[in-house]
Amino acid sequence: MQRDFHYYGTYCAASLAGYSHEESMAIAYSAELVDHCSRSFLAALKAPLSAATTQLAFEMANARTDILGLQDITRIWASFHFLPYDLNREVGKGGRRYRNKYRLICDTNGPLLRETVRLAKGKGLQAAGLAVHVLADTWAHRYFAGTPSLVINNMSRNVVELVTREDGSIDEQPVKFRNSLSGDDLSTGIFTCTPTMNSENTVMNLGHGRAGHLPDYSFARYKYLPAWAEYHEILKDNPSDYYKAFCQMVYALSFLHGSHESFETERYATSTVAPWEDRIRSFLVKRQLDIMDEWHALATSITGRTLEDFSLDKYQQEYLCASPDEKNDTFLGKFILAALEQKGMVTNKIYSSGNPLAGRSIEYREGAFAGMKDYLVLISDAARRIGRG
Amino acid sequence: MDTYEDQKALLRRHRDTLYIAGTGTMILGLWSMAEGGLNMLATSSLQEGMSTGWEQVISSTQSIVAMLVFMILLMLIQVYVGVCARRESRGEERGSFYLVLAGIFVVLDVLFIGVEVFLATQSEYSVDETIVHLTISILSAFSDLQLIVSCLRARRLSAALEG
Repeated sequence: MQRDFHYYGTYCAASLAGYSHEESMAIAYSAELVDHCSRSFLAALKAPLSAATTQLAFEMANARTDILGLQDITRIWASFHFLPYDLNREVGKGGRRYRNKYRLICDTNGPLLRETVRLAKGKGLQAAGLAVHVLADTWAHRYFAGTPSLVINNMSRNVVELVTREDGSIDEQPVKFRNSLSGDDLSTGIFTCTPTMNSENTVMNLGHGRAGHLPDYSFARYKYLPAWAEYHEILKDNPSDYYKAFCQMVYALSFLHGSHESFETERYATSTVAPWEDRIRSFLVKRQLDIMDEWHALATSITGRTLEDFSLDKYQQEYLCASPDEKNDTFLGKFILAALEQKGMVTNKIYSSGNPLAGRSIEYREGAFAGMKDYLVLISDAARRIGRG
Repeated sequence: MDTYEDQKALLRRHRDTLYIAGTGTMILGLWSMAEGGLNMLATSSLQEGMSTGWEQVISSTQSIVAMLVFMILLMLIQVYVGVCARRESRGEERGSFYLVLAGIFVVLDVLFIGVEVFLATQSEYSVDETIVHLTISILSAFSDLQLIVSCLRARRLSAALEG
Protein backbone atom coordinates (compact mmCIF):
# COMPACT_ATOMS: atom_id res chain seq x y z
CA MET A 1 0.00 0.00 0.00
CA GLN A 2 0.98 3.62 -0.39
CA ARG A 3 1.05 6.70 1.78
CA ASP A 4 -2.59 7.51 1.03
CA PHE A 5 -3.70 4.40 2.91
CA HIS A 6 -0.90 3.94 5.43
CA TYR A 7 -0.92 7.55 6.64
CA TYR A 8 -4.28 9.13 5.93
CA GLY A 9 -6.26 5.90 5.94
CA THR A 10 -4.71 4.84 9.25
CA TYR A 11 -5.55 8.21 10.77
CA CYS A 12 -9.18 7.73 9.73
CA ALA A 13 -9.22 4.19 11.14
CA ALA A 14 -7.69 5.31 14.45
CA SER A 15 -10.20 8.13 14.77
CA LEU A 16 -13.09 5.77 14.14
CA ALA A 17 -11.63 3.36 16.71
CA GLY A 18 -11.85 6.04 19.37
CA TYR A 19 -8.40 7.61 19.46
CA SER A 20 -8.02 11.37 19.81
CA HIS A 21 -6.62 13.53 17.02
CA GLU A 22 -3.12 13.60 18.53
CA GLU A 23 -3.13 9.87 19.18
CA SER A 24 -4.41 9.16 15.68
CA MET A 25 -1.64 11.34 14.24
CA ALA A 26 0.97 9.36 16.19
CA ILE A 27 -0.49 6.05 15.02
CA ALA A 28 -0.69 7.22 11.42
CA TYR A 29 2.86 8.55 11.54
CA SER A 30 4.14 5.23 12.88
CA ALA A 31 2.23 3.30 10.23
CA GLU A 32 3.79 5.37 7.47
CA LEU A 33 7.23 5.29 9.10
CA VAL A 34 7.39 1.52 8.51
CA ASP A 35 7.95 2.32 4.81
CA HIS A 36 10.83 4.69 5.59
CA CYS A 37 12.71 3.24 8.54
CA SER A 38 15.69 1.89 6.63
CA ARG A 39 19.22 1.18 7.81
CA SER A 40 20.31 4.50 6.32
CA PHE A 41 17.65 6.31 8.33
CA LEU A 42 18.67 4.51 11.53
CA ALA A 43 22.38 4.98 10.90
CA ALA A 44 21.89 8.73 10.70
CA LEU A 45 20.25 8.57 14.12
CA LYS A 46 22.85 6.19 15.51
CA ALA A 47 19.94 3.90 16.32
CA PRO A 48 19.99 0.07 16.30
CA LEU A 49 20.23 -1.01 12.67
CA SER A 50 18.41 -4.26 13.42
CA ALA A 51 15.22 -2.24 13.80
CA ALA A 52 15.09 -1.54 10.07
CA THR A 53 11.58 -2.10 8.75
CA THR A 54 12.34 -1.56 5.10
CA GLN A 55 15.13 -1.42 2.56
CA LEU A 56 15.48 1.49 0.17
CA ALA A 57 16.11 0.96 -3.52
CA PHE A 58 19.85 1.62 -3.32
CA GLU A 59 20.11 -0.64 -0.26
CA MET A 60 18.39 -3.38 -2.26
CA ALA A 61 20.79 -2.81 -5.13
CA ASN A 62 23.66 -3.32 -2.68
CA ALA A 63 22.09 -6.23 -0.82
CA ARG A 64 23.94 -9.52 -0.72
CA THR A 65 22.07 -12.56 -1.94
CA ASP A 66 24.18 -15.20 -0.28
CA ILE A 67 22.50 -17.17 2.49
CA LEU A 68 23.06 -14.53 5.16
CA GLY A 69 21.97 -11.72 2.86
CA LEU A 70 18.80 -13.56 1.91
CA GLN A 71 17.99 -14.20 5.56
CA ASP A 72 18.45 -10.51 6.31
CA ILE A 73 16.15 -9.52 3.44
CA THR A 74 13.53 -12.07 4.48
CA ARG A 75 13.58 -10.94 8.11
CA ILE A 76 12.68 -7.41 7.11
CA TRP A 77 10.16 -8.00 4.37
CA ALA A 78 8.37 -10.98 5.89
CA SER A 79 8.06 -9.24 9.27
CA PHE A 80 6.64 -5.93 8.11
CA HIS A 81 5.29 -6.13 4.57
CA PHE A 82 4.56 -9.75 3.61
CA LEU A 83 3.43 -11.43 6.81
CA PRO A 84 3.35 -15.19 6.14
CA TYR A 85 -0.06 -16.78 6.28
CA ASP A 86 0.60 -20.37 7.29
CA LEU A 87 4.08 -21.50 8.28
CA ASN A 88 3.03 -25.14 8.27
CA ARG A 89 1.10 -25.23 5.02
CA GLU A 90 1.37 -28.42 2.99
CA VAL A 91 2.55 -27.90 -0.55
CA GLY A 92 2.07 -31.28 -2.15
CA LYS A 93 5.03 -30.98 -4.47
CA GLY A 94 8.64 -29.85 -4.63
CA GLY A 95 11.50 -30.33 -2.20
CA ARG A 96 12.29 -28.72 1.11
CA ARG A 97 13.66 -25.50 -0.38
CA TYR A 98 10.49 -24.91 -2.37
CA ARG A 99 8.32 -25.77 0.62
CA ASN A 100 10.13 -23.27 2.85
CA LYS A 101 9.54 -20.47 0.38
CA TYR A 102 5.96 -21.49 -0.29
CA ARG A 103 5.22 -21.24 3.41
CA LEU A 104 6.24 -17.59 3.44
CA ILE A 105 3.45 -16.56 1.06
CA CYS A 106 1.51 -13.67 2.54
CA ASP A 107 -2.24 -13.76 2.96
CA THR A 108 -4.88 -12.23 5.19
CA ASN A 109 -6.19 -13.40 8.53
CA GLY A 110 -3.37 -15.77 9.37
CA PRO A 111 -2.23 -16.77 12.87
CA LEU A 112 0.73 -14.41 12.64
CA LEU A 113 -1.60 -11.47 12.16
CA ARG A 114 -3.29 -12.30 15.43
CA GLU A 115 0.12 -12.45 17.11
CA THR A 116 1.13 -9.14 15.54
CA VAL A 117 -1.88 -7.23 16.82
CA ARG A 118 -1.79 -8.85 20.25
CA LEU A 119 1.92 -8.06 20.53
CA ALA A 120 1.11 -4.37 20.15
CA LYS A 121 -1.39 -4.37 23.02
CA GLY A 122 -0.27 -2.08 25.83
CA LYS A 123 2.90 -1.11 23.98
CA GLY A 124 1.93 2.40 22.91
CA LEU A 125 0.79 4.25 19.86
CA GLN A 126 3.89 3.49 17.83
CA ALA A 127 3.40 -0.25 18.22
CA ALA A 128 -0.24 0.18 17.22
CA GLY A 129 0.73 2.05 14.08
CA LEU A 130 3.30 -0.55 13.17
CA ALA A 131 0.83 -3.38 13.71
CA VAL A 132 -1.85 -1.87 11.46
CA HIS A 133 0.72 -1.24 8.75
CA VAL A 134 1.51 -4.96 8.79
CA LEU A 135 -2.23 -5.74 8.83
CA ALA A 136 -2.96 -3.47 5.86
CA ASP A 137 -0.11 -4.94 3.83
CA THR A 138 -1.45 -8.48 4.27
CA TRP A 139 -4.40 -7.36 2.10
CA ALA A 140 -2.43 -5.49 -0.54
CA HIS A 141 0.47 -7.92 -0.79
CA ARG A 142 -1.38 -11.21 -0.48
CA TYR A 143 -0.14 -14.04 -2.69
CA PHE A 144 3.46 -12.77 -2.68
CA ALA A 145 6.30 -13.77 -0.37
CA GLY A 146 8.74 -11.52 1.46
CA THR A 147 11.75 -13.46 0.25
CA PRO A 148 13.49 -13.27 -3.13
CA SER A 149 12.15 -16.20 -5.13
CA LEU A 150 11.48 -16.64 -8.82
CA VAL A 151 9.41 -19.79 -8.36
CA ILE A 152 7.08 -18.06 -5.89
CA ASN A 153 6.92 -14.39 -6.82
CA ASN A 154 7.12 -14.58 -10.59
CA MET A 155 3.95 -14.32 -12.63
CA SER A 156 2.92 -14.76 -16.23
CA ARG A 157 2.96 -11.71 -18.43
CA ASN A 158 -0.69 -12.33 -19.35
CA VAL A 159 -2.15 -10.01 -16.74
CA VAL A 160 -5.62 -8.72 -17.49
CA GLU A 161 -7.06 -5.68 -15.78
CA LEU A 162 -10.81 -5.51 -15.24
CA VAL A 163 -11.81 -1.95 -16.00
CA THR A 164 -15.34 -0.82 -15.24
CA ARG A 165 -16.78 1.41 -17.94
CA GLU A 166 -19.13 4.31 -17.29
CA ASP A 167 -22.12 2.19 -18.28
CA GLY A 168 -21.17 -0.37 -15.65
CA SER A 169 -19.85 -2.99 -18.05
CA ILE A 170 -16.49 -4.59 -17.37
CA ASP A 171 -13.76 -4.51 -19.95
CA GLU A 172 -10.78 -6.85 -19.85
CA GLN A 173 -7.65 -4.93 -20.79
CA PRO A 174 -4.26 -6.60 -21.09
CA VAL A 175 -1.73 -5.02 -18.78
CA LYS A 176 1.53 -4.05 -20.41
CA PHE A 177 4.64 -4.08 -18.29
CA ARG A 178 7.90 -2.29 -18.90
CA ASN A 179 11.15 -2.16 -17.00
CA SER A 180 11.96 1.53 -17.23
CA LEU A 181 12.02 4.02 -14.36
CA SER A 182 9.44 6.28 -16.00
CA GLY A 183 6.64 5.25 -13.68
CA ASP A 184 3.17 3.95 -14.43
CA ASP A 185 0.99 5.40 -17.17
CA LEU A 186 -2.65 4.75 -16.30
CA SER A 187 -3.99 6.24 -19.51
CA THR A 188 -2.23 3.65 -21.67
CA GLY A 189 -2.29 0.83 -19.12
CA ILE A 190 1.49 0.52 -19.02
CA PHE A 191 2.97 -0.37 -15.64
CA THR A 192 6.55 -0.60 -14.48
CA CYS A 193 7.85 -3.79 -12.94
CA THR A 194 11.18 -5.39 -12.15
CA PRO A 195 12.92 -7.06 -15.10
CA THR A 196 12.77 -10.79 -15.72
CA MET A 197 15.78 -12.48 -14.18
CA ASN A 198 16.14 -16.23 -14.29
CA SER A 199 18.17 -16.33 -11.10
CA GLU A 200 16.04 -17.71 -8.27
CA ASN A 201 17.32 -15.45 -5.49
CA THR A 202 17.80 -12.11 -7.19
CA VAL A 203 16.20 -9.16 -5.38
CA MET A 204 14.22 -8.47 -8.56
CA ASN A 205 12.09 -11.43 -7.49
CA LEU A 206 11.34 -10.06 -4.04
CA GLY A 207 7.73 -9.53 -3.03
CA HIS A 208 5.49 -8.03 -5.69
CA GLY A 209 8.31 -6.54 -7.76
CA ARG A 210 7.26 -8.57 -10.79
CA ALA A 211 3.79 -7.05 -10.57
CA GLY A 212 5.11 -3.54 -10.11
CA HIS A 213 2.80 -1.24 -8.17
CA LEU A 214 -0.41 -2.95 -9.24
CA PRO A 215 -1.05 -4.48 -5.78
CA ASP A 216 -0.65 -1.03 -4.21
CA TYR A 217 -3.29 0.73 -6.31
CA SER A 218 -6.65 0.71 -4.61
CA PHE A 219 -8.55 0.88 -7.92
CA ALA A 220 -6.83 -2.14 -9.52
CA ARG A 221 -8.83 -5.28 -10.25
CA TYR A 222 -6.88 -7.80 -12.25
CA LYS A 223 -6.41 -11.48 -13.04
CA TYR A 224 -3.02 -13.13 -13.30
CA LEU A 225 -1.19 -16.44 -12.97
CA PRO A 226 1.29 -16.51 -10.06
CA ALA A 227 4.18 -18.92 -10.41
CA TRP A 228 3.18 -20.89 -7.30
CA ALA A 229 -0.46 -21.38 -8.28
CA GLU A 230 -0.02 -24.23 -10.78
CA TYR A 231 -1.73 -22.36 -13.62
CA HIS A 232 -4.71 -21.40 -11.44
CA GLU A 233 -5.83 -17.85 -12.06
CA ILE A 234 -6.00 -15.39 -9.18
CA LEU A 235 -8.46 -12.51 -9.17
CA LYS A 236 -7.15 -9.60 -7.16
CA ASP A 237 -9.94 -7.21 -6.27
CA ASN A 238 -8.18 -4.29 -4.61
CA PRO A 239 -11.23 -2.05 -4.01
CA SER A 240 -12.92 -4.85 -2.08
CA ASP A 241 -9.73 -5.91 -0.29
CA TYR A 242 -8.81 -2.37 0.68
CA TYR A 243 -12.22 -1.75 2.16
CA LYS A 244 -11.98 -4.94 4.21
CA ALA A 245 -8.47 -3.93 5.25
CA PHE A 246 -9.81 -0.60 6.50
CA CYS A 247 -12.62 -2.24 8.45
CA GLN A 248 -10.19 -4.71 9.98
CA MET A 249 -7.83 -1.87 10.91
CA VAL A 250 -10.65 -0.15 12.78
CA TYR A 251 -11.41 -3.41 14.58
CA ALA A 252 -7.75 -3.96 15.46
CA LEU A 253 -7.31 -0.40 16.69
CA SER A 254 -10.49 -0.69 18.75
CA PHE A 255 -8.94 -3.73 20.44
CA LEU A 256 -5.69 -1.87 21.04
CA HIS A 257 -7.65 1.09 22.37
CA GLY A 258 -9.35 -1.19 24.87
CA SER A 259 -12.83 -1.18 23.37
CA HIS A 260 -12.98 -4.97 23.42
CA GLU A 261 -11.16 -7.80 25.07
CA SER A 262 -9.70 -9.81 22.24
CA PHE A 263 -8.55 -9.62 18.66
CA GLU A 264 -9.60 -12.43 16.38
CA THR A 265 -9.07 -12.86 12.67
CA GLU A 266 -11.94 -12.67 10.16
CA ARG A 267 -13.57 -9.86 12.16
CA TYR A 268 -14.28 -6.43 10.75
CA ALA A 269 -15.73 -3.23 12.20
CA THR A 270 -18.19 -2.88 9.35
CA SER A 271 -20.89 -1.29 11.48
CA THR A 272 -18.49 1.41 12.73
CA VAL A 273 -17.38 2.19 9.18
CA ALA A 274 -20.88 1.89 7.67
CA PRO A 275 -21.71 5.64 7.75
CA TRP A 276 -18.65 6.29 5.57
CA GLU A 277 -18.88 3.17 3.40
CA ASP A 278 -20.27 4.73 0.23
CA ARG A 279 -17.79 7.54 0.32
CA ILE A 280 -14.81 5.23 0.92
CA ARG A 281 -15.84 2.77 -1.78
CA SER A 282 -16.33 5.63 -4.23
CA PHE A 283 -12.76 6.89 -3.96
CA LEU A 284 -11.16 3.45 -3.66
CA VAL A 285 -12.21 2.79 -7.27
CA LYS A 286 -10.86 6.08 -8.59
CA ARG A 287 -8.31 5.36 -11.29
CA GLN A 288 -5.53 7.59 -9.93
CA LEU A 289 -1.93 7.04 -8.88
CA ASP A 290 -2.90 8.00 -5.35
CA ILE A 291 -5.97 9.15 -3.42
CA MET A 292 -4.31 11.16 -0.64
CA ASP A 293 -6.65 14.11 -1.09
CA GLU A 294 -9.73 11.91 -0.78
CA TRP A 295 -8.50 10.21 2.39
CA HIS A 296 -7.46 13.58 3.79
CA ALA A 297 -10.91 15.02 3.12
CA LEU A 298 -12.48 11.99 4.82
CA ALA A 299 -10.22 12.46 7.83
CA THR A 300 -11.30 16.08 8.11
CA SER A 301 -14.93 15.04 7.85
CA ILE A 302 -14.53 12.47 10.65
CA THR A 303 -12.61 14.61 13.13
CA GLY A 304 -13.01 18.19 11.92
CA ARG A 305 -9.24 18.53 12.09
CA THR A 306 -6.62 18.98 9.38
CA LEU A 307 -3.73 16.57 9.17
CA GLU A 308 -0.21 17.78 8.73
CA ASP A 309 1.69 16.14 5.90
CA PHE A 310 4.01 13.31 6.73
CA SER A 311 7.54 14.54 7.45
CA LEU A 312 10.30 12.01 7.97
CA ASP A 313 12.42 14.28 10.14
CA LYS A 314 9.61 15.25 12.52
CA TYR A 315 10.88 13.30 15.54
CA GLN A 316 14.54 12.95 14.66
CA GLN A 317 15.78 15.85 16.76
CA GLU A 318 14.04 14.52 19.84
CA TYR A 319 15.80 11.18 19.44
CA LEU A 320 19.19 12.68 18.68
CA CYS A 321 19.09 15.04 21.66
CA ALA A 322 17.91 12.46 24.18
CA SER A 323 20.42 10.90 26.56
CA PRO A 324 21.12 7.17 26.12
CA ASP A 325 18.83 6.37 29.07
CA GLU A 326 15.99 8.41 27.65
CA LYS A 327 16.14 7.34 24.01
CA ASN A 328 13.66 4.48 24.49
CA ASP A 329 11.09 6.96 25.79
CA THR A 330 11.21 9.18 22.71
CA PHE A 331 8.78 8.73 19.84
CA LEU A 332 11.32 7.07 17.57
CA GLY A 333 12.71 5.07 20.49
CA LYS A 334 9.29 3.52 21.09
CA PHE A 335 8.90 2.83 17.39
CA ILE A 336 12.30 1.13 17.33
CA LEU A 337 11.35 -1.09 20.26
CA ALA A 338 8.10 -2.03 18.52
CA ALA A 339 9.99 -2.85 15.33
CA LEU A 340 12.48 -5.04 17.20
CA GLU A 341 9.65 -6.88 18.93
CA GLN A 342 7.75 -7.48 15.71
CA LYS A 343 10.80 -8.62 13.80
CA GLY A 344 11.89 -10.84 16.68
CA MET A 345 8.45 -12.43 16.95
CA VAL A 346 8.08 -13.18 13.25
CA THR A 347 11.66 -14.42 12.88
CA ASN A 348 11.17 -16.66 15.89
CA LYS A 349 7.94 -18.10 14.49
CA ILE A 350 9.54 -18.79 11.12
CA TYR A 351 12.60 -20.38 12.71
CA SER A 352 10.52 -22.44 15.14
CA SER A 353 8.54 -23.88 12.25
CA GLY A 354 11.76 -25.38 10.89
CA ASN A 355 12.18 -22.81 8.15
CA PRO A 356 15.71 -21.39 7.93
CA LEU A 357 14.91 -18.60 5.47
CA ALA A 358 14.75 -15.88 8.11
CA GLY A 359 17.83 -17.13 9.93
CA ARG A 360 18.32 -18.31 13.49
CA SER A 361 16.29 -17.01 16.36
CA ILE A 362 17.45 -17.11 19.98
CA GLU A 363 15.33 -16.63 23.07
CA TYR A 364 17.33 -14.23 25.22
CA ARG A 365 14.91 -14.74 28.05
CA GLU A 366 16.00 -18.37 28.25
CA GLY A 367 19.51 -17.44 29.18
CA ALA A 368 21.13 -17.46 25.76
CA PHE A 369 24.20 -15.31 25.41
CA ALA A 370 24.63 -15.32 21.65
CA GLY A 371 22.73 -13.32 19.05
CA MET A 372 22.22 -9.71 18.03
CA LYS A 373 22.88 -7.33 20.89
CA ASP A 374 20.29 -4.90 19.50
CA TYR A 375 17.59 -7.23 20.82
CA LEU A 376 18.88 -7.18 24.39
CA VAL A 377 17.09 -3.86 24.80
CA LEU A 378 13.80 -5.77 24.61
CA ILE A 379 14.75 -7.65 27.82
CA SER A 380 15.48 -4.46 29.73
CA ASP A 381 12.36 -2.80 28.33
CA ALA A 382 10.22 -5.76 29.40
CA ALA A 383 11.76 -5.61 32.89
CA ARG A 384 11.04 -1.90 33.04
CA ARG A 385 7.38 -2.49 32.13
CA ILE A 386 7.07 -5.13 34.82
CA GLY A 387 8.63 -2.74 37.31
CA ARG A 388 6.16 -0.02 36.39
CA GLY A 389 3.21 -2.37 36.37
CA MET B 1 -13.18 -35.05 -9.29
CA ASP B 2 -11.46 -32.04 -10.88
CA THR B 3 -13.37 -28.83 -10.66
CA TYR B 4 -14.00 -26.48 -13.55
CA GLU B 5 -11.15 -24.26 -12.35
CA ASP B 6 -8.80 -27.23 -12.12
CA GLN B 7 -9.62 -28.15 -15.71
CA LYS B 8 -9.02 -24.59 -16.88
CA ALA B 9 -5.67 -24.65 -15.07
CA LEU B 10 -4.80 -27.92 -16.79
CA LEU B 11 -5.73 -26.43 -20.16
CA ARG B 12 -3.43 -23.47 -19.49
CA ARG B 13 -0.65 -25.91 -18.58
CA HIS B 14 -1.05 -27.89 -21.82
CA ARG B 15 -1.13 -24.70 -23.88
CA ASP B 16 1.98 -23.46 -22.12
CA THR B 17 3.73 -26.76 -22.88
CA LEU B 18 2.57 -26.48 -26.49
CA TYR B 19 4.05 -22.99 -26.72
CA ILE B 20 7.38 -24.14 -25.30
CA ALA B 21 7.49 -27.24 -27.52
CA GLY B 22 6.69 -25.11 -30.56
CA THR B 23 9.47 -22.70 -29.70
CA GLY B 24 11.83 -25.64 -29.21
CA THR B 25 10.94 -27.07 -32.61
CA MET B 26 11.65 -23.72 -34.28
CA ILE B 27 14.98 -23.32 -32.55
CA LEU B 28 16.05 -26.88 -33.30
CA GLY B 29 15.09 -26.35 -36.94
CA LEU B 30 17.30 -23.27 -37.12
CA TRP B 31 20.03 -25.16 -35.33
CA SER B 32 19.89 -28.05 -37.78
CA MET B 33 20.18 -25.61 -40.64
CA ALA B 34 23.16 -23.88 -39.08
CA GLU B 35 24.85 -27.16 -38.18
CA GLY B 36 24.31 -28.65 -41.63
CA GLY B 37 25.61 -25.54 -43.33
CA LEU B 38 28.73 -25.38 -41.20
CA ASN B 39 29.33 -29.09 -41.70
CA MET B 40 29.12 -28.63 -45.43
CA LEU B 41 31.56 -25.75 -45.42
CA ALA B 42 34.01 -27.69 -43.29
CA THR B 43 33.93 -30.91 -45.30
CA SER B 44 32.99 -29.51 -48.65
CA SER B 45 33.64 -31.66 -51.72
CA LEU B 46 33.90 -28.34 -53.53
CA GLN B 47 37.33 -28.00 -52.06
CA GLU B 48 38.23 -31.40 -53.42
CA GLY B 49 36.76 -30.54 -56.80
CA MET B 50 38.84 -27.37 -57.08
CA SER B 51 41.96 -29.42 -57.06
CA THR B 52 40.82 -31.83 -59.76
CA GLY B 53 39.17 -29.68 -62.45
CA TRP B 54 36.21 -27.49 -63.45
CA GLU B 55 33.88 -30.42 -64.20
CA GLN B 56 34.32 -31.64 -60.65
CA VAL B 57 33.73 -28.09 -59.35
CA ILE B 58 30.44 -27.77 -61.21
CA SER B 59 29.27 -31.21 -60.07
CA SER B 60 30.21 -30.46 -56.44
CA THR B 61 28.47 -27.07 -56.60
CA GLN B 62 25.29 -28.69 -57.87
CA SER B 63 25.25 -31.20 -55.04
CA ILE B 64 25.94 -28.48 -52.48
CA VAL B 65 23.12 -26.33 -53.78
CA ALA B 66 20.77 -29.32 -53.74
CA MET B 67 21.69 -30.08 -50.16
CA LEU B 68 21.28 -26.45 -49.17
CA VAL B 69 17.83 -26.29 -50.71
CA PHE B 70 16.85 -29.48 -48.92
CA MET B 71 18.13 -28.20 -45.59
CA ILE B 72 16.35 -24.86 -45.98
CA LEU B 73 13.15 -26.69 -46.83
CA LEU B 74 13.43 -28.86 -43.73
CA MET B 75 14.12 -25.81 -41.60
CA LEU B 76 11.15 -23.93 -43.00
CA ILE B 77 8.89 -26.89 -42.31
CA GLN B 78 10.09 -27.07 -38.71
CA VAL B 79 9.62 -23.33 -38.28
CA TYR B 80 6.12 -23.67 -39.74
CA VAL B 81 5.31 -26.44 -37.25
CA GLY B 82 6.64 -24.31 -34.39
CA VAL B 83 4.70 -21.21 -35.45
CA CYS B 84 1.47 -23.20 -35.76
CA ALA B 85 2.02 -24.71 -32.31
CA ARG B 86 2.61 -21.29 -30.77
CA ARG B 87 -0.49 -19.84 -32.42
CA GLU B 88 -2.63 -22.74 -31.27
CA SER B 89 -1.29 -22.28 -27.73
CA ARG B 90 -2.80 -18.78 -27.78
CA GLY B 91 -6.21 -20.18 -28.62
CA GLU B 92 -6.16 -19.76 -32.40
CA GLU B 93 -7.64 -22.61 -34.37
CA ARG B 94 -5.11 -24.39 -36.55
CA GLY B 95 -5.60 -27.50 -38.65
CA SER B 96 -3.95 -30.83 -38.04
CA PHE B 97 -1.51 -30.71 -40.94
CA TYR B 98 1.29 -29.38 -38.77
CA LEU B 99 0.71 -32.23 -36.33
CA VAL B 100 1.20 -34.72 -39.16
CA LEU B 101 4.45 -32.98 -40.08
CA ALA B 102 5.54 -33.09 -36.44
CA GLY B 103 4.79 -36.82 -36.41
CA ILE B 104 6.94 -37.31 -39.50
CA PHE B 105 9.78 -35.47 -37.81
CA VAL B 106 9.47 -37.74 -34.80
CA VAL B 107 9.85 -40.78 -37.06
CA LEU B 108 12.79 -39.19 -38.88
CA ASP B 109 14.48 -38.33 -35.59
CA VAL B 110 14.08 -41.86 -34.30
CA LEU B 111 15.53 -43.23 -37.56
CA PHE B 112 18.39 -40.76 -37.34
CA ILE B 113 19.10 -41.86 -33.77
CA GLY B 114 19.31 -45.44 -34.98
CA VAL B 115 21.67 -44.48 -37.79
CA GLU B 116 23.86 -42.49 -35.41
CA VAL B 117 24.09 -45.38 -32.98
CA PHE B 118 25.04 -47.73 -35.80
CA LEU B 119 27.65 -45.36 -37.22
CA ALA B 120 29.05 -44.80 -33.74
CA THR B 121 30.12 -48.41 -33.69
CA GLN B 122 32.33 -47.71 -36.69
CA SER B 123 35.86 -47.06 -35.51
CA GLU B 124 36.53 -43.95 -37.64
CA TYR B 125 33.52 -42.08 -36.25
CA SER B 126 34.13 -39.27 -33.74
CA VAL B 127 32.60 -39.97 -30.32
CA ASP B 128 32.17 -36.27 -29.47
CA GLU B 129 30.27 -35.57 -32.65
CA THR B 130 28.09 -38.62 -32.13
CA ILE B 131 27.13 -37.57 -28.63
CA VAL B 132 26.17 -34.09 -29.83
CA HIS B 133 24.14 -35.40 -32.76
CA LEU B 134 22.39 -37.95 -30.57
CA THR B 135 21.54 -35.34 -27.94
CA ILE B 136 20.06 -33.00 -30.51
CA SER B 137 18.11 -35.80 -32.16
CA ILE B 138 16.69 -37.03 -28.86
CA LEU B 139 15.75 -33.47 -27.87
CA SER B 140 14.14 -32.89 -31.23
CA ALA B 141 12.14 -36.11 -31.06
CA PHE B 142 11.03 -35.34 -27.51
CA SER B 143 10.06 -31.80 -28.42
CA ASP B 144 7.98 -32.89 -31.40
CA LEU B 145 6.34 -35.69 -29.43
CA GLN B 146 5.49 -33.32 -26.59
CA LEU B 147 4.09 -30.87 -29.11
CA ILE B 148 1.71 -33.50 -30.49
CA VAL B 149 0.65 -34.80 -27.06
CA SER B 150 0.06 -31.38 -25.50
CA CYS B 151 -1.85 -30.20 -28.58
CA LEU B 152 -4.18 -33.18 -28.52
CA ARG B 153 -4.73 -32.89 -24.77
CA ALA B 154 -5.40 -29.17 -25.04
CA ARG B 155 -7.92 -29.71 -27.82
CA ARG B 156 -9.73 -32.41 -25.89
CA LEU B 157 -9.90 -30.31 -22.73
CA SER B 158 -10.97 -27.23 -24.62
CA ALA B 159 -13.81 -29.15 -26.26
CA ALA B 160 -14.87 -30.58 -22.89
CA LEU B 161 -14.91 -27.14 -21.27
CA GLU B 162 -16.92 -25.60 -24.08
CA GLY B 163 -19.31 -28.52 -24.09
